[in-house]
Amino acid sequence: MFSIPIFQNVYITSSRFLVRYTRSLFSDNHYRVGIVGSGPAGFYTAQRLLKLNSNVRVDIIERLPTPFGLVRYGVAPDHPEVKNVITNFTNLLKDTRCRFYGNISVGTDISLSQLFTYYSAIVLAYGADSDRKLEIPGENAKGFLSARRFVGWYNGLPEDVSLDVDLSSQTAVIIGQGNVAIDVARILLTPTEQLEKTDICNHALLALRESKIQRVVLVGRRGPLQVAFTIKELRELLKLKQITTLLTKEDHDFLEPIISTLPRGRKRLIELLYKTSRQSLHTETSNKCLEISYLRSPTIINTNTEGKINSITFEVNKLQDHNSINTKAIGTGVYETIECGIAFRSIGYKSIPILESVPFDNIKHVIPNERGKVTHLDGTLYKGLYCSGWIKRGPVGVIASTMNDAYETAERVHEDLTADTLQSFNTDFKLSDLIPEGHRMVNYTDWSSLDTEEVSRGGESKPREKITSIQEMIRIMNNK
Amino acid sequence: MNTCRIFSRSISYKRAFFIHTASLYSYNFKSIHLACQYSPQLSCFPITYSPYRAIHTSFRLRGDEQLEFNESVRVTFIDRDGNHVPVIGNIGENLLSLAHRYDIEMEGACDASLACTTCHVYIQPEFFSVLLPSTDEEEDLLDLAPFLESNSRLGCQVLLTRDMQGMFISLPRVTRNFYVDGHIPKAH
Ligand SMILES: Cc1cc2nc3c(=O)[nH]c(=O)nc-3n(C[C@H](O)[C@H](O)[C@H](O)COP(=O)(O)OP(=O)(O)OC[C@H]3O[C@@H](n4cnc5c(N)ncnc54)[C@H](O)[C@@H]3O)c2cc1C
Ligand SMILES: NC(=O)c1ccc[n+]([C@@H]2O[C@H](COP(=O)([O-])OP(=O)(O)OC[C@H]3O[C@@H](n4cnc5c(N)ncnc54)[C@H](OP(=O)(O)O)[C@@H]3O)[C@@H](O)[C@H]2O)c1
Ligand code: FES
Repeated sequence: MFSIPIFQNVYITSSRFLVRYTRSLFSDNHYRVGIVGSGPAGFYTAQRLLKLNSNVRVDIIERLPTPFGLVRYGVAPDHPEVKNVITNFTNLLKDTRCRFYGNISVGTDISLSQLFTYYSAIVLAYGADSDRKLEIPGENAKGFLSARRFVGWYNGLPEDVSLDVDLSSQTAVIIGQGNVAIDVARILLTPTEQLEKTDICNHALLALRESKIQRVVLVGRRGPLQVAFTIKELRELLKLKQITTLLTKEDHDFLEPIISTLPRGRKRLIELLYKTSRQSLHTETSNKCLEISYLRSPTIINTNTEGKINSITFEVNKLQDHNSINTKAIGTGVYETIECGIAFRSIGYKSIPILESVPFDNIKHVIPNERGKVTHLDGTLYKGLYCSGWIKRGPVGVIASTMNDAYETAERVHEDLTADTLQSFNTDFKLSDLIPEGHRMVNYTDWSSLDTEEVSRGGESKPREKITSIQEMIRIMNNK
Repeated sequence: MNTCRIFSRSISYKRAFFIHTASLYSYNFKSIHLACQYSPQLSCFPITYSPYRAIHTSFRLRGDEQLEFNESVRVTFIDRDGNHVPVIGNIGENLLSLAHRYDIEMEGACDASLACTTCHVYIQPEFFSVLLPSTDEEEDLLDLAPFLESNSRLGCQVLLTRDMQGMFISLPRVTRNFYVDGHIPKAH
């Protein structure tokens, strides 16, 4: 009975949609939005914008020949489900209103003023390509690595694959207790037979097979209540076969009475830490262990005569307020040392300014903005310029947070487009017109051929074997 | 005990899902296989599927039990822009696939493999207790969903049941000032 009106409704909506869509494809007047960066922020901004405004066409401009940002070069190889998002992103690349321009670094190969000549709006979504430093003596020692670069190394980021990773010692120390620190610990400890089935790069797999690391120490400057990792990642670590997670019982005793008072999102995590601390003992079957240690700030990276790390000196901290999540650590003047042959600084990524003319907040390391619209340092709005993702909010948050944030930016762009404050165009334009001849740009078809090649190199057991040299990528694309 | 025991009131929704979706949707062969295995007496599935049509059938069970299956329920999504979108879902179908059928912008980045939280939804509070409780894995993820509320669930994990008739499901609105991961970093 009621099926007919509903059906008609759908019919009407879809025909209206079709008319609008077709009109937008052939209409002369349209808006062009250039998005800088092809990580989740870039894709989700594009997706929402295309949905909100049928008069928009989007170009996604990427520094690397390959799309997807940290989904390809950050997300751990043993988290293939997280990478399913690539299917959605690829569908967007197949949309006639969205184009991919890879191997173009904005700020180097092309300037912002050049882009503004051809685009109604520019969205900066270039993420965080650097990392925070500890600023302590010995930070440049051999064997003291940035976790960000180590992640790039096992995930095949071209600039990081030559990183010198020496896994010949027994103990590895990781400074910081975020999810990246957990990723690094898990990769170091997971039996390589499990990693063999992932898209981890072959060079990393070979090195990990030879690894002598038995003990990984995850050191935080605050206490168990303030850890930055999340419960899913902790649970995964605890489930690793043949690995024991060691938590000192005394460090966690104080938690029991406060667990029930904690907000959702913290409560279950702390509960799990507490429970684990009651039972963590070295088992007979495990030969490797992960230790979680608190209230220690690194003060010196000590080296041997060859300049290679051999230990780290930590100052023991106490907390201003033991029971508060948002509290500060204070040094006690007591020091202790942990011996190790390799260590990782995993205290957060950091965004850097890539364009001189774009305002940058040098304290928070983000582009100042109002709901995604870039503001000058005096608070006035920057016409036509927007930002999205980690560059907008700082390098925190999972893909879902980045998505919400990108949606907000897309809505801000859409507001300005509807208010007719931005320039529209009535001719077609190709970014290649702006790029000097001889520079190899990468389009979606090129990427597809590279993708196919990687999948085929993965053979039977791996989902893909990533190609890690840009020259080789280009050669493969040229040969197809 | 008759062969039809599984159709008693204690039937799990998951199993109901297999039976109904197999008859309606031909999603995957496994479910058809299961349906046939469980219900030889339902060898002909008479309904042709149309997403825009409510389907209402009852099965006569052997023995004295009569169970009525409303195979679809009407629920309403409130999308990110605040629009109300009434839809008709199949029992056993998850909210993510339902939203996708109606082109509602629910992301589902990990393809329902419980790894992303982008299918985060709010369930109308009156209906929250009607839902099967969430698993630990779902709770682990929800803990890090932006804009978490007490009526939050992951859309890909919520399977429609008859009791959800008339339920409202809203998507997180895009707002400012959310903090992520429940972690509050400290400036030193
Ligand atoms: C190690 C690691 C693991 C993670 N694992 C998970 C996980 O399992 N699940 C989860 O939900 N989240 C995970 N995250 C978080 C998730 O990756 C981020 O939320 C998300 O990638 C941020 O998106 P973005 O687009 O802002 O930045 P990015 O993903 O970094 O994308 C930025 C893009 O811009 C490009 N770019 C940089 N400079 C330029 C330039 N000058 N011109 C053009 N392009 C440029 C970069 O090459 C890059 O492709 C992880 C993060 C890290 C660091
Ligand atoms: N599987 C996943 O979902 C996944 C995987 C990887 C990354 N991510 C996401 O990506 C984001 C980035 O992760 P991240 O681990 O790089 O950052 P993060 O979560 O911000 O963690 C940084 C850690 O470093 C510590 N730290 C900062 N400065 C320090 C200093 N000077 N000395 C000692 N310790 C210091 C912090 O402690 P304080 O709290 O005391 O500052 C914190 O423990 C996070 O939002 C994370 O959830 C997600
Ligand atoms: S779609 Fe990823 S958790 Fe639901």
